[in-house]
Amino acid sequence: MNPILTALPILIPWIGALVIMGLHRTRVIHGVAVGTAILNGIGTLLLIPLSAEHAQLLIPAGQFWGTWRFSPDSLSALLSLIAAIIGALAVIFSVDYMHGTNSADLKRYYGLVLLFIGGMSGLVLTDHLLLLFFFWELVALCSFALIAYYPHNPAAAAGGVKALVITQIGGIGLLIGILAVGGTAGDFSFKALHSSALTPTLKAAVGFGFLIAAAAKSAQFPFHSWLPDAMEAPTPISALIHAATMVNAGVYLMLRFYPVFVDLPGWTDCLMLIGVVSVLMGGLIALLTDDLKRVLAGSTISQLGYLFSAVGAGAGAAAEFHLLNHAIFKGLLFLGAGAVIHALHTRDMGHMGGVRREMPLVFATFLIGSLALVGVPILNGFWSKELILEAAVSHAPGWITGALLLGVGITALYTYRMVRRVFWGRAQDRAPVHEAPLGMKIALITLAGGVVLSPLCLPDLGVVITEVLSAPVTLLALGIILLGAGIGWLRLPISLSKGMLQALDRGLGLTPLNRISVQLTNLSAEGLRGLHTGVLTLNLAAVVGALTLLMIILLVGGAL
Amino acid sequence: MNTPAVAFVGALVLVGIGLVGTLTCRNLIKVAVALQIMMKGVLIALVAAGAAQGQINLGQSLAAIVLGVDTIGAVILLALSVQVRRRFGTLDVSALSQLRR
Repeated sequence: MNPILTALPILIPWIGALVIMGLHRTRVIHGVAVGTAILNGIGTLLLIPLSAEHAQLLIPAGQFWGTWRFSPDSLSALLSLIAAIIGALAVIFSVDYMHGTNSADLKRYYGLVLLFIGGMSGLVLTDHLLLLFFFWELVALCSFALIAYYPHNPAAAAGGVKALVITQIGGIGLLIGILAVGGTAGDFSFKALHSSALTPTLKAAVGFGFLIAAAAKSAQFPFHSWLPDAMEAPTPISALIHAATMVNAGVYLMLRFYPVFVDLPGWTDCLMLIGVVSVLMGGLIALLTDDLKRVLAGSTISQLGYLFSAVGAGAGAAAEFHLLNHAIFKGLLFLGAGAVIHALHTRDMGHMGGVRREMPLVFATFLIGSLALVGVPILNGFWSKELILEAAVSHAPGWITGALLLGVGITALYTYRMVRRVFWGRAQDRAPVHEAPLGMKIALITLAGGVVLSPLCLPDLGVVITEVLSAPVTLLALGIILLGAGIGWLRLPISLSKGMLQALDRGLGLTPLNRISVQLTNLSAEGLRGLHTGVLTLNLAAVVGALTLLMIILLVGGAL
Repeated sequence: MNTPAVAFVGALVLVGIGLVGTLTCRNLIKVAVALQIMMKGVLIALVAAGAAQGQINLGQSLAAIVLGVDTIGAVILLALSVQVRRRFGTLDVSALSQLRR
């Protein structure tokens, strides 16, 4: 196959986004967006044969940049496929969700979504550190613009800025690491990281810089507080960017560079520690909030914590598998929640209840997603979560395994609580609702099918099944799930005191930390505002002065 | 003095006049005129540099390209001046600052 096909997952969505910019009628915009997204899904499927034959797309880019290499392997093909397929389903879902939006806003929405899908594929396909950074920041930018999609909602604007600033802080770690590698090894390809020119100290700095970047991107402790606030975005965006794809970029970075940094002292321990704390903290956030989307956000933090722990424990394959499964069932849960929110116009679970009878299909698919999240047998979440737990038993300290098992119980508890409050009970004082429209149904049913069938993608399914079923930790985990759900069934007063709730909402003292960084950024921006004199002559004088200085430096440098 | 040296001195003088003009003039049209003076100095310098290197053809063709590009720049600047005058009622560049607090 022609290796140029590797560029399709990047180019198809971007071309679609450009086409959409030139359209005016809303129906045409919806149609083109859906068509592009589906075409992109088909184009991305080509990555499977391409990665099997180790195709390489090489673009010579001059002396400084070296060669831009796009080379799909199984990991990047997997992530690119997740971005393309969940992206296509989110776009199909959006046709109903964004119904009635005016064409200017709709263009902005679909343009950004398609730009994001292409950027995400580029991020995982590239083999060039500077391009990796470019795509890394590109998806952060799309995420920011889509969180702040409703600009008149102050919470949305604040959430967008918060997400952008916090992921930027991580981006600095990535950039420093990349520049250190490029400066020392003189090469920006991924091979440069294995170069012998890197001293152990430098390698440690790069490794932990990458770790900070990954934790910030994947909303892991201590950078987790941006994800719940990002829930102001339209719900398909939450499903696509903040559950299935962009937050996985951090895990991708860790998986990709695990062989490079595994020997760094403390690096894997740090990874596991971050993961375990995030598992528990995300679970608590999900347990103690009344906002349906924030429950799912907390759950995402918690599940990504499992991925980080798994990578730290050296179970890369289990992490990849759980990443795929999490993308599917969390995308399903978010889209189901979106259907409920779209019908009820509220995200507060206190105002839901009894939706089960009015929206039976949404209920059925949401229930499947929830059971997969909890890890009930046969559904995909069960297999991958047990694999991670098993890896933790054999490779991680005992207390980490214990904390992960505790996380399983918390997951069962908050999921039970969420499903009960949304779908059971009596309808509170609300207008009656109807079943979700067709586009939403298509997306939900497809994802629910994926939840059941995705384990079949595993090449060695039989081995996995015997391995999981024979491990004692599986029984223990199932027992803990029953215990968690049982506590939920007892309806213990887990709402706790108001004070504790607020403390948790503030991220247990970590939100101030994040806020300080945001304020520092604002402060420096305000400080630089003094340079905005707006006087043309002054600015010109500065330009001339800078040019003169540059000339002097060049002249002196040439003389030396 | 040989010819290229004279040309370089002339170019320097023109660029200097243009520089002072851009930095001191407050009328947008005058800024445009000063920029043009500066660019003409650059053109002379380009041709002179070509001559000094014995590649007068290269210098002249570069100058021709710069001339074309520069003309487009001048046209855009003048068109912007017209718009600025329509919108703000003035051509005084120091009165046009909206970013300042």
